[in-house]
Amino acid sequence: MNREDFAEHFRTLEVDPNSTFQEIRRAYHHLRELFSKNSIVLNPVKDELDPEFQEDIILQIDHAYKELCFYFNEKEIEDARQTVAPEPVQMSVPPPADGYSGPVLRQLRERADIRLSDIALATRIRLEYLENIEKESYDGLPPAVFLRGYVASYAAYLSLDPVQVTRDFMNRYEKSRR
Amino acid sequence: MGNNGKKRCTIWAVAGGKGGTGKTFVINNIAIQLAARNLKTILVDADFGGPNVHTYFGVKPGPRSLTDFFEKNVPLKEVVTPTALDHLHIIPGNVNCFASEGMKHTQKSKFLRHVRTLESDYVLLDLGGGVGVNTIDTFLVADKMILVLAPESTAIENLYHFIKNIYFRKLKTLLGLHGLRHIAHEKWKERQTNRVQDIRGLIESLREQEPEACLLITEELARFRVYLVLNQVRNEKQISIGFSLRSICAKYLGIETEFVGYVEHDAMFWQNINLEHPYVHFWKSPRLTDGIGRLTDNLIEGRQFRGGRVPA
Ligand SMILES: Nc1ncnc2c1ncn2[C@@H]1O[C@H](COP(=O)(O)OP(=O)(O)OP(=O)(O)O)[C@@H](O)[C@H]1O
Ligand SMILES: [Mg+2]
Repeated sequence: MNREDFAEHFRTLEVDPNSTFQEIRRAYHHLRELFSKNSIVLNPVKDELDPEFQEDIILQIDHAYKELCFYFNEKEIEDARQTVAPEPVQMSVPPPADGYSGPVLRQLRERADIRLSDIALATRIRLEYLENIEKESYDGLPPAVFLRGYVASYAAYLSLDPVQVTRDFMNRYEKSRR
Repeated sequence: MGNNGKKRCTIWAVAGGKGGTGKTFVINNIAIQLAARNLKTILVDADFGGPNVHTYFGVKPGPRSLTDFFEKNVPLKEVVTPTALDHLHIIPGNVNCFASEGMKHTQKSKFLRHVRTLESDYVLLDLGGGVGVNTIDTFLVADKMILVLAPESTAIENLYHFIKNIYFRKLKTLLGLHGLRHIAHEKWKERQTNRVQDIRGLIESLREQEPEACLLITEELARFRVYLVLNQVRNEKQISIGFSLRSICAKYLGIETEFVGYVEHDAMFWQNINLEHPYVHFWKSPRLTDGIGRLTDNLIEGRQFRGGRVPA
């Protein structure tokens, strides 16, 4: 697939189609925060849109980011992560040494003071699945093809790198199946 | 780049919003930047409420001003006054009248008829903070509509109001052009609120009755664009307000804007200037010239400011 197939997602994140992953990530974090928090720029127009449209905006932003994460290969994403330039992200937690496991994700989520029900609402993933992801109760989870997407959305919501999180999480999942 | 009278001049205008955000300050600086690029520029002080462009250029008020054009039928090109800078001319405003009601309809028509005939690469209009329809109509005629905001909540709120106002005005004008004023009027009364979302619905509801006009109007509105300049920036974090506004205008209001750049707050501006030639200071202050230079280039190219995003 080439960049043109992703034109819509670049547009949603308001970035140039030639942007690096780093720029995309920055734009994503900016938009995510902008549309989910009260601020002097958002409050005056809060009533302009019905609530469901407001929610849609956030979903679209998440979706675009998720898709673009799959577009960029791991190398680019790795490079972006290692760039020394200070990255203005809300949650600049270094990736955990032992990779992202369910409990680690839960810990990060709680540290960011985010409720699972919020994630469920925003990602439209069943709350029960989210709980099982954190508990690594693999039996209560859908098949791997779906699970991968859910984990990615969950990670994106927490402003974590979806590619790395899914890779770590799915590795653990595969191992347990063997 | 010369002008041999064949090419029509490009008009940029500033208007609207809260008083004192720095419209005059910014447009004057942009004028200087254009002139520095060897582009002939005429800066018109069309702020009827409080003209003060001349102050920045050390030009004494009078002898020639817009008043001569409006009241004594002096041709517009004859009230063009040189400044100490090459390529930069101004048309001073009328300092002696108390036209607090802003531009009148007759003045608007006459002005718009003549302004295009000026021989210049650029004509810049400082329309002041007025919100009268004639001021807005003049603004809407510009090739680039520039809005200046300061990073504070009242200025931001005012900006949204102003953007919505000019958008609705544009829509009304378009409806009128397509002979739909009467329909629009009826629908207008029925509408629930004056949210942009509902106005879109109104256009949609016209689609069945007037499909062609509706299409043209939608296309025209899609071309509607304002250019945002963030002024009086005091720290790096504030720059993101420019990006934020652009995103919100696009995603909440469906109105396209371009955030072209920011200007730092220069706290020592009035302390440091030479009162006879204040503009000289614009050159001496790199924090001003850098920002304004960059945003002028972005305006010329019609592109967005390219700097890092810093979350608000
Ligand atoms: N970036 C800046 N740094 C320092 N001073 C500034 C800056 N921008 C504007 N000012 C000062 O703030 C004051 C108000 O600016 P200005 O007259 O340009 O506002 P305005 O928007 O044109 O106001 P009005 O609506 O009354 O026409 C002026 O004294 C101006 O010199
Ligand atoms: Mg002014």
